[in-house]
Formats: sequence, C-alpha cells, structure tokens
Amino acid sequence: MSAKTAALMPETQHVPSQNRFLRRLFSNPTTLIGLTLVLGALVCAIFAPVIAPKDPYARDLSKYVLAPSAEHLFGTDDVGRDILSRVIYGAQISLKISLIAQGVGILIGVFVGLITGYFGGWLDTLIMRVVDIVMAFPLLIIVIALIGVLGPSENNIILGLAVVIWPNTTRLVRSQVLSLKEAEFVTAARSLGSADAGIIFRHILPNVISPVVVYATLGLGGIILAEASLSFLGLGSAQQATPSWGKMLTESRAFIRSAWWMPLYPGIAILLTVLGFNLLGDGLRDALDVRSK
Amino acid sequence: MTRYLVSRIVQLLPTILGIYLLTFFMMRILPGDPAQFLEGDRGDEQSMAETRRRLRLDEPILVQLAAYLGDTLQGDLGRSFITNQPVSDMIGRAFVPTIQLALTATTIALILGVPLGVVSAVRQNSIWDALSRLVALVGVSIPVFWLGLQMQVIFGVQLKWIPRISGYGIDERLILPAISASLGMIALLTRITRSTLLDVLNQDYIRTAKSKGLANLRVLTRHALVNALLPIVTVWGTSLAGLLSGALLVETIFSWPGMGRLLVDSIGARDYPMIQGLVIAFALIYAGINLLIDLFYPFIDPRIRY
Amino acid sequence: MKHRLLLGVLLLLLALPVLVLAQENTTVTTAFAESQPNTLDPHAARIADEFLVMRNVCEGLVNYDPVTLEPVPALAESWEISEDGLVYTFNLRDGVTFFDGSTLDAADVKYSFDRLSDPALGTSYTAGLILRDVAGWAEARPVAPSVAEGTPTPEPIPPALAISGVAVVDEMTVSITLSKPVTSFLVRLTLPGGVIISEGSADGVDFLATGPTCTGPYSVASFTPGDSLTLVANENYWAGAPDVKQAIIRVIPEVSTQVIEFEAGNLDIVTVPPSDLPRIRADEALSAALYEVATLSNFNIRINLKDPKMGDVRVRKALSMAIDRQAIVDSVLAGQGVPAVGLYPPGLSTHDETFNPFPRDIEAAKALLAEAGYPDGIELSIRNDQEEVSNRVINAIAATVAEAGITLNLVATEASVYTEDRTACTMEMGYIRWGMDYPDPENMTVLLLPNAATRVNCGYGEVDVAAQIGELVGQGVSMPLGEERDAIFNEIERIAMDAVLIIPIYHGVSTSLVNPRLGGQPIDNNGTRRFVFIELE
Repeated sequence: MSAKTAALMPETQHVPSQNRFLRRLFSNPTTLIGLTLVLGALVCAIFAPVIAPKDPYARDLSKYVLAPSAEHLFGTDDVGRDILSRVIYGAQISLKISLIAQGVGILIGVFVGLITGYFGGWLDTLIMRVVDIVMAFPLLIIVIALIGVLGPSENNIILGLAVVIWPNTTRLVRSQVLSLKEAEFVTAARSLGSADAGIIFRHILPNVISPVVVYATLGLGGIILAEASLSFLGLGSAQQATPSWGKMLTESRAFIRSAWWMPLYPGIAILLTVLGFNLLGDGLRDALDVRSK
Repeated sequence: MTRYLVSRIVQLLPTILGIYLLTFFMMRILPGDPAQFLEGDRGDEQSMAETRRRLRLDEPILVQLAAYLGDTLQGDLGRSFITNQPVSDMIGRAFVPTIQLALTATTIALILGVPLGVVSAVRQNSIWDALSRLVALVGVSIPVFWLGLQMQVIFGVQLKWIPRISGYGIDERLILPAISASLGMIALLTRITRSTLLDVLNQDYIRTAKSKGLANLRVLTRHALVNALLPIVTVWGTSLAGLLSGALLVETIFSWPGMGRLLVDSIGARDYPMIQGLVIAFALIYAGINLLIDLFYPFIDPRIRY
Repeated sequence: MKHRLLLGVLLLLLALPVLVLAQENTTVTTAFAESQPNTLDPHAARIADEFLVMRNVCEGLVNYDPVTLEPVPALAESWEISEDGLVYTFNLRDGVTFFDGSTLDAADVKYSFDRLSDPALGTSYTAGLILRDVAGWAEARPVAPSVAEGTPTPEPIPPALAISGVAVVDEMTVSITLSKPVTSFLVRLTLPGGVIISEGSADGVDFLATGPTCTGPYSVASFTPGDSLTLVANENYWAGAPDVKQAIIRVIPEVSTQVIEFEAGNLDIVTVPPSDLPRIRADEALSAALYEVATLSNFNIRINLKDPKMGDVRVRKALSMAIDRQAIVDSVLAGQGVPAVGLYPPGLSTHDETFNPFPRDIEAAKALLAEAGYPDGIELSIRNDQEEVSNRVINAIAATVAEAGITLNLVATEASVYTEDRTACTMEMGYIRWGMDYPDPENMTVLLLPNAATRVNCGYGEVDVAAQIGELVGQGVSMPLGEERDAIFNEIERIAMDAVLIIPIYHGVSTSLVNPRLGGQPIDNNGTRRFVFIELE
C-alpha cells in the first residue's frame, strides 16, 4: 500500500475533486508567485546551458573578483568565473540534491509514521527506537560515515540527508495520527467495518498531509543550506569546481566584506527558491484542506 | 503513568546501547585515523606507531570494544585522544554554554514565532498574514553565517551597540548568537502555528462555538490554541534537541564554546572517545526532551492517554 | 532571561568607561591563529597554537634572535663546541628561577631532555628534530612493539630510558654529545621541544590546567578551552619584567570574526586573510595597522612519483612551466607571498634571486606534454585538506595552467583522510604548506627525500637522483656554515628542480593587524607573536 494506491481509491468526503483542487491552488496570487519562483529555478536548472551567458567553469585570473558590470552582471569570483552563469548552473545541483533527498525522506517518513502511529504496539515501539537512534545521531556523523564508506558523491549526500529527514517526518506524522485515530470520524469508520488500510489512507492521511507539506517545503531551504555546510566541511560533492549555491555561499564568506556580490547572489538564489517552495507549499495546503472556507 | 515512565526508561537502554555500538564500529570503519591527526604533517612512521600504541589503536577491535564498554559501564567515558582530558569533563564544560544558548534561542523563537503564526492564521489571506509569513520566511532563508557576520559588523563596528560581539558570556555576547540560532526556528514555529491553527479553526466544533456566539478571542484561546499546542510543542522540542546537539555555524561565527564545535573538532580529529561520549550525551538529551514532550501530550490533548 | 539580558546590557554600559581605560593599560588581547592548544605540555606541543604559548612561556638553553633568527644565549649563558663538533658544553645562567620558585640547575636540563625523549608521553615530532642526532637517541626510543593479531593483553610501552647523550657535568654545566657533527644543532635547540622545565614539575600534572613550569617572560594564568588563555607577566624574568603585564589569547575559529573584533577594538593583534586585504589596504586607519612578516616557507606540490602520468618528468616540468606564479600571488594571495621557483625562501643564505628553472612558457609546456604523449592536453588531480586559502591557490593554479591544456582538478578532503593516504600512493599530487621548522636550508631538503612528514610519500626513494641528493644532504648537514655549505645546498636545489621533484608555488608572507599602541616588535621574524618584545608608551 502506498500513497499512489490511495490516490486511486474512490473519492471520499475528505478529498477534494481534482478540479476544485486546481482552482483553489491557482486562485491565490501568492501561490502563483511561489509557483513562478519554483518554475524559474527549474527552468534555470534544465536550460542552464542555453540561458547562462558564460561558461561557469572558465577561470581567468585576470578577472579576479570584479564588481558587477555590463560584461559580468553579477561580477566575478576569486578565479574570475562569471557569477551569473554559476548561479544559473547552481540551480541544477541545489535542486537535485534538495528535491530528491526531501522526496525520498518524506515518503519514507510519512509511510512509516502512518503505520507506526495507527497500529501502535510492539511495531510502534520498535520503529520509534530506530527513529530515536537515527535522530539522536548527529547529521554530521551519519553523512561522514556514508561518504567515508561509499565515497564522496552527490548521491551519497542525498542518501545521507534522506536518512536524516525521515525520522523527523515520522515523528510529526505519528503524533498527528495518535490524536486522529481516536477522532469521531475514524472511530465511526472503524465501527462501520472499514479496513485498516482504508482508514489510514482515506481518513487519516488527508488529515496529516497539510503539516507534512508545510514541513517538507520549509525543509527544502534547510537542505540547500545543509548541503552548503557539508561542502564547507569538505563533505560536499568531490568536484571542487561544481557550482552549488550553498557551496558558492560558504566559500565566498571570506569575501563578505570586501566583495559583497560574491555571497549575495547565490544567497538571493537560495532565498527566492526557498520562498517559492514555501509559498507554493502554502497554496497546496489551502487547496488540499477541504475544511477551509 | 509510572509504569509508562519506567517502560520508557527501560526502552531507552537498548537505544543507547545501539547508538554506542553503531558509533564504535562506524568510527573504526571510517577513513582517517586519530594517530594520523595527532601526528599531523610532520609525524614520522615511528612516532605514528608509538601514538597508535599509546592510544591502544593497534589492538584487535573487539579487545578495544571490551575495554571501552567495560569502562563505560563503570561510568568512565575515557579520555580525549587529543587533549587527554576526561571526556565527561569536556562534555560538561561545553554543555553549559550550549543549553544557555539553546534555551535563549528557543525562548526568543517562541515569543516571536507563535504570535506571528496566530496573527497570520486569524487574519488569513490579509496583508498581516503575508507580512508575518514573509518575516518568518526571510529569517529561515538568510544563511546564518552571512547574517551573523553582517550583524557583527553593524552592531559591533558601525553602531557600536554591542561592545563585545563574540566569545562566551551571559551578557551582551549572548544576544547575537541567540538571535541567529532562533531564526530558523521562528519560521518553523510561525508556519506550524498558522497551519495547525487554521486546521483547528476550521473544524466543526470551533464553528459550532463561533455560531453559539462566543467571543472571537475566547474561541481562540479556549479551543483553537490549546488544540494547536500539540504540533507546536513537538516542533519546539525537536528544535531544542537540535540546538542542544549544537548550533554549529552559530557557535563557530560567534566563538561560542558549545557542543557543536566540540563535535566537529572531534570528528575532524577522529577523537573516538570524545565522539562516543558526545553521541551518547546527544542521545540522552534527545531522549529526555522527547520523553518530556510525550509526557506533556495528555495535558494538552486528553484523548491521548498512556 | 529577558531581564538578565537587559541587566547585562545595562551593566556593560556602566562598565564601558572601565573597558576603555583597560585598553590604555598593559593588557594585550589577541586570538589563536588556527584553533586552540590541545596540550600545554611543551614536550608534546605540535601545532602552531601550542607553539605560540610555548614561545612566550618557556625557554631552552638557546633561543633565536627575533630579527636575525640566529641562536642567542637564553638559559645557557655561553657554550663551547668541541673540535670535532660532537660535544656541546653549556654553561647555565645563574639565578634563573622557575615559576615554582626553584632555581635553574643542570638537573632541570637533564630532566627536560630525558622527558623529551620518552615515547610514552606522546612526544612531539620536535623531539626527533632536536634529539635524533644526539647520542643515545636510538636506545632511548626503541620502536614500540606492535600488537600481534589476537594477542589479548598487549605489551605496555617500554619504560622511558634516559637519553645518554645529555649529561650533567656539574651543577651549572651540561654537556650534549652528538652521534655525528650537525651544524644546525644549536638552531634546532631553539625549537619549542627544547625548552627546560623545572625538575619533577611534570609528574602527575594536568598541563591544560596549570601550564608548564618554565622560566619565560610569561606564565599561564588560566586556560578555558574553547574560550581563552590568559598569560601573566613573570616579574622575576631574568631578562627583566616585560611591559605587557597580561596577554589574553582568545579562541575565535572564524577568521572573518577576528578581523571584525579587531575593528571593534576588542583585539590588538589578528591575522588577516588575503581575501580581506584589498579592503584593509584601502582603509586609511586599518592600513596603518598592517604588519607584514615574510615567513620561511615553501608552499609547493609534492608528487606521487610512481604515478604513470606524474612519474614522467616532462609532465611535471610542463605543469610547473604552465603556472603563472606572479598572477596567483597578485590575485588570490593579494600580495601575501613571493613566487617560488626553487627550494629556499628569501631570508636564507641559499636563496638565489637569479635561479629560475621554470620561466612561464605555455608553448614549451605544450610541447613537453606532446612529447610525453599528451598532445591534446592532460587531466590531472591534486589532493589537499580543507584549508581555504590553499584551496583558492590551487583553483588559481588550475586557472593558469588551463592555457597549456592542463585540466587540474582539486580533491579536498578532511586533513586526517588526506594524511592517511600519504603512503597509499592513490593520489597524483598533494599540496604541501611547508613552513620551515628552523632556519637552515637542510630543513627544506626534507621535501626532496622519502619522508612521511610531507603527506605525499611515493617514489621519492626510488627516483634516480635520490641517492645523489641523500649523499649531498649528508655532506651539507655536517659542514660549517659558509659559502661552501651553501653551494652544496644550491647544488641539491638544482638537481631537484631539474628532476622537478616538487613544484614550488610561493613563499609565504604573514600579514597581521596590530594595534598602533603596541610598539617594539610584537611579531618576530619567525611570524610568532612575542609579547615580551612589545613596548608600551
């Protein structure tokens, strides 16, 4: 049983029809702004080679730390690379890492949280002990261990981040399920003879989804920044030249006072992307929630 | 209740043991070697061998484990490979600044985050809603080290409002790191407050209360906020636990001698006993806070019983 | 909490005038340059932050002159060297007292050197640098028995043996006998490991809490790891009590914060990262506080000579010729360095301005690569730890060699992982930040010989010129200082650069900001902050 199966199930009073969902989603202007920002980042990522004015890897020491100009709209960095082009290419790696890691982590987290919260008992005890162990482990140790053993690569960073993400989600979902499973509409469904799977995915899942969406979208920026801290600690992608926003930001912090443009533009890229995901997440939440309005 | 408490503490033991063993083997599988770190660039093969001997790193791994475990069971976490100080002393020294920073930061976050969330939920889709969300969002999106350094320049060098801008002390030196550490949490709390409050506000029984003509404010406090407390407390607790295991960047930028820096330094040095001790300390902190939260649930939501 | 904060701010505002006054008095505040000391045991000190404390707190028989760096009398008032250069007899200074009140005598010296040679202490590499040519070193420091597989109870480290080459002649005279004549021995004695501590003062002592019991101008008043270390002046210092009565060395891990603290008036001496230098030079007040010291160093690339690509001298030479050293110094280093094309930094007698084996020549580099079988360019990789400035330098190197068709990829890992791979020969090259241990050209030849101390140790013993270099070094080490000795070391340099055993990049310059109220020489020519040489008006 998965979320996909749930979507295929007959509609209930708790799940809005697709049309109503889309109408709600696009009726809110802030949602549209969010969607635009996210799409903008995605376009940068996908069409980077077309959009970027310069080669993001081309170093030229004669262009060492140049302030923004017509030639280089965002200025150049400490090996003379064009920051605008690097910011555009940076969308690729930053989005890839954050989206995949968050997606995998959240999927696992929601599924496990639903199961463990609903059924309780020894399964709950066992799973929560595993959650405890993983959550009590500092992120750093987990990622260093994964990268140390599997080798430094983007995929292993994603794996490491996903390992850290799921227990948080599980806890959040579980605490919701705990209070929901005693709610009237659930006990009613149960007394009417609904199967457990049906109750979990038809009645409980729609009611826990909005905090999870909020949590997931808000976490995306955190992951972009976490990736930055990891590269700062030498645990980012092995390729030093690869432009990720987080890495551009951490590496340029020594220039924060002498060349403001170096940390500023990747910072703005992160800010706008995080903002986009958040506004979009808000819109999704309002659209998903049948009880509002 | 007491039975629940006892069972939770009993459940904690295998968790701690699991963490202990996992850390032990993880550290020894990892590339990097404490003797290499200690000897640094200039150590030759003989001094490396001597250091490995002195740290007992050349012994079979199970012998090392037995020795470690034996000492730990007697309450001795050993000595740091790097400083040769007792691990428990070093953790204790770092714990005090850590908890001071974490409590201050979470308090700031609660004071700012929850009201922002309430405002934006009650005035949903208004300009206040947008503003509250924007404040929270900008806080979480600004990279902490960028903001931290900028605040140091503005308040320390330019305005000279804060004479000492880095270092440890329960005085003006706490202000900037606490604000920096609270930013991520403010956004989280605002969002979760708004989101769950909206859920609750739109539930039938609140509508019923409203239709019965209860005053808006009383509806909020009596029903909505109390019900929204559950996720707020959960988020607050996990954030506190997160900050207690070290606000690494904040500690580094503001020279705050907390557990995050201790952990990073220890990992970099492959200081096995120190890492082992810190991981156990984090596990205990984390378990303790979660136990407190779980014990708190029934007070908020009577439907939850243990 | 809020109230306490408010109270704190209020109290501070009240205390502000006092703080401003304190700036006027005899306290100097600075920060550790790298991280913080892990030990305050002088015989175990290894890293720059520990050396900083030892240089201010302790002294050996000889010390170095802060300007010329030549050995000058310290705890030994004078010394004689035997005809054959093997026996050094030191006459100790009268009336020198340790911090514990006891008076310096020969037994303290013997105790300190015996302790330095004890492998069970986790002794520093400086022990080897000081004592390896002293008679009895091999016996005092046998190779520790390693544990055989499956042995349940390992042998303890054998108890320390006194080093026989260091002998008490009479109460105030000590002799040190070498196993072979070594010209640089006196210079090596100035290393932090060579300091003298009071007899018995190390037994059962927690150095981090108390600091060492030495004779220097300052003693450790307190150390709070992660926060700060405080030194207080030794009013009984034999050379006279210093002007600066208290020195606070703070732990500030973030370099940018150090500079900001200087600008806020909270630090008197800080190191400046090159990225901030252009801004500081443009600021009138700040540029007046700049203090530059050329360090005896060679930042270079050591090579895995067994690697199929880098084992070819043509590839190494092409790489070296493709590097635009001047452009790197001018850009990422902001002038904090001078281009290096040989072994020896300016300041050593063996430094030769005219020696230039690697003039930048892109066409010649391309031709060499083509000859070596890479007509379409070559992709190379270089390892480093995570030190930011050196990673910037490597990226800049990559930028300049790209013109010659060389793609240079940087792989930056944690320091302990980089170090661990040094004998594994899994890397093509490694970046080395070599600051000289002591100012003698022989210390630079370490980079040319098989040596685990250099993080890349692959094939250096097997290369055809290795035997020749080894022999010349052996000769040079024992020769008296002078032109003849310098000629030997210059010959070594020529051979090594012909074979491109290392690729030198630059000699470092350390740049600091120093509060103009500090007169005298706050930073010696070794780049070390020395509070004793600070003069206050």
